[in-house]
Amino acid sequence: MFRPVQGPAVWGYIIGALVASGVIFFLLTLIPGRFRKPLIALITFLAGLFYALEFFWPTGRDDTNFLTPFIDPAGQMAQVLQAFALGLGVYSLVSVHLRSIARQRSGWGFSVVLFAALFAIAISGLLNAYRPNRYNQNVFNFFFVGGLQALDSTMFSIIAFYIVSAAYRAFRIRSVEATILLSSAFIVMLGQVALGQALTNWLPAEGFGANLRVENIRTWILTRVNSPAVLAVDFGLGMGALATALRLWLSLERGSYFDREL
Amino acid sequence: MFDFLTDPAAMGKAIVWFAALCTLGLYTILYRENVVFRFFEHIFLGLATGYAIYATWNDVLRPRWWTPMVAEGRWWWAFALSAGLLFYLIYSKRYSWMSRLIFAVFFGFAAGQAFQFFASTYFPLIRSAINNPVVGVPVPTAINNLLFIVILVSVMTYFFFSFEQRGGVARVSRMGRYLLMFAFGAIFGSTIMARMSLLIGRVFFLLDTWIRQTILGGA
Repeated sequence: MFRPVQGPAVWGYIIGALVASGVIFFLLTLIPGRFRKPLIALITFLAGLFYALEFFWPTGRDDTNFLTPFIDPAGQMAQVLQAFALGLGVYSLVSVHLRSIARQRSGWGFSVVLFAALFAIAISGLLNAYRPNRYNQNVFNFFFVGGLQALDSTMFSIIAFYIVSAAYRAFRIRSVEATILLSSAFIVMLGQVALGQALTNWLPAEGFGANLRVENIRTWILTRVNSPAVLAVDFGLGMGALATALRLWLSLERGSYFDREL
Repeated sequence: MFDFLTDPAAMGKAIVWFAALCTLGLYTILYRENVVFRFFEHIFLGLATGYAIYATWNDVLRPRWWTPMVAEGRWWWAFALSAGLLFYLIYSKRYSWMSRLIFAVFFGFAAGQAFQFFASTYFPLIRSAINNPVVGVPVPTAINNLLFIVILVSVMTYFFFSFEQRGGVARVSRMGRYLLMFAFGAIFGSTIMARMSLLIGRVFFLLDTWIRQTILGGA
């Protein structure tokens, strides 16, 4: 049944699939309210069971089982469906700014600028993809390299200014913990800049004395103190994620989203 | 009229000028909230959204959905469109429950993959953490390996809330908190330096690429 079709006939099959989807949609509308939650729980369970079974089912000599060949198509399908979900965010942004323009709220001109930038890069990108030539490439690069990349790195570099005031608040020595935080941050920063490294460059580059060079202390802090501490936090996160996953999979999760009547 | 669009030198200069204006425009926020910043902020938002739309189509939907469906004749990918449209039923009062069907698929996938992720990520990490030998290796290595295990256990003890921490456990837990602060300090220091390098990059762009090379015509 699921065989590729070549030529114009493919459009017939596509339309047929869409009609079949419409029928399924209609049948779903007939499901009574009391069966909706169990249906959603069943779908969640089956979707989770696919990956869980693939993982726990014994494998053959080639390290695969009967579900392994379906992992890639399932991943591809998930990627495609996630791509469709992008429209949710775009819709939300567009509706807010369209409303702002329609009602001429304060600053509605900025919404016009937003739409101009949105269409400019999207259209130039698509033109560059479908009709690649120097003209289209330059126009796309103007918006991407000159605009997006520059704005992106500038926006994140602004954090450097605010992080200094955050550091001032965080580093005021008021407790043992704050002192420890300040010390390790200071050494890590000092070990990363040439000025800090110059402070201890009179120490030998080899042997025991080299351990006291600030750049080596920095590396030691990052690899020998930071790594196990982060690893311990990661273990906690992993256990928590696993427990949450189990609750989601078995539809045991509670909260406004899950408890609402359907 | 638009010949300059095919001239690499002219376009190079235009890109540098646009990037410099964008950079300076965003930096005006360092003085205070102003219309120039809001203008470039909205350009940023528009460009980021537009690029996301372009990249989603060009990198995901076109090669993984449209081309297989239309060019390779795998018509069953049309069902993905119907499934994807279920997301949008969230806006319908009557049919919003159906959007949960597609969310349920993703919840299930994420839950199922969590087993694989935990086993493939954390089991090797636990193994590598325990396999650090403390005997039969040079003394500095042994000390470092022992320290690794001590820090790991102390920090994990700090996050252990199954019973009230008293006596020796409380002391280990307190040491875990101090070590955690040490690690957070290191992370904070690294983050500051990473942001500083971004700032240096932008300042270097303004001073060298824009002013020296483009405006003053330096080599």
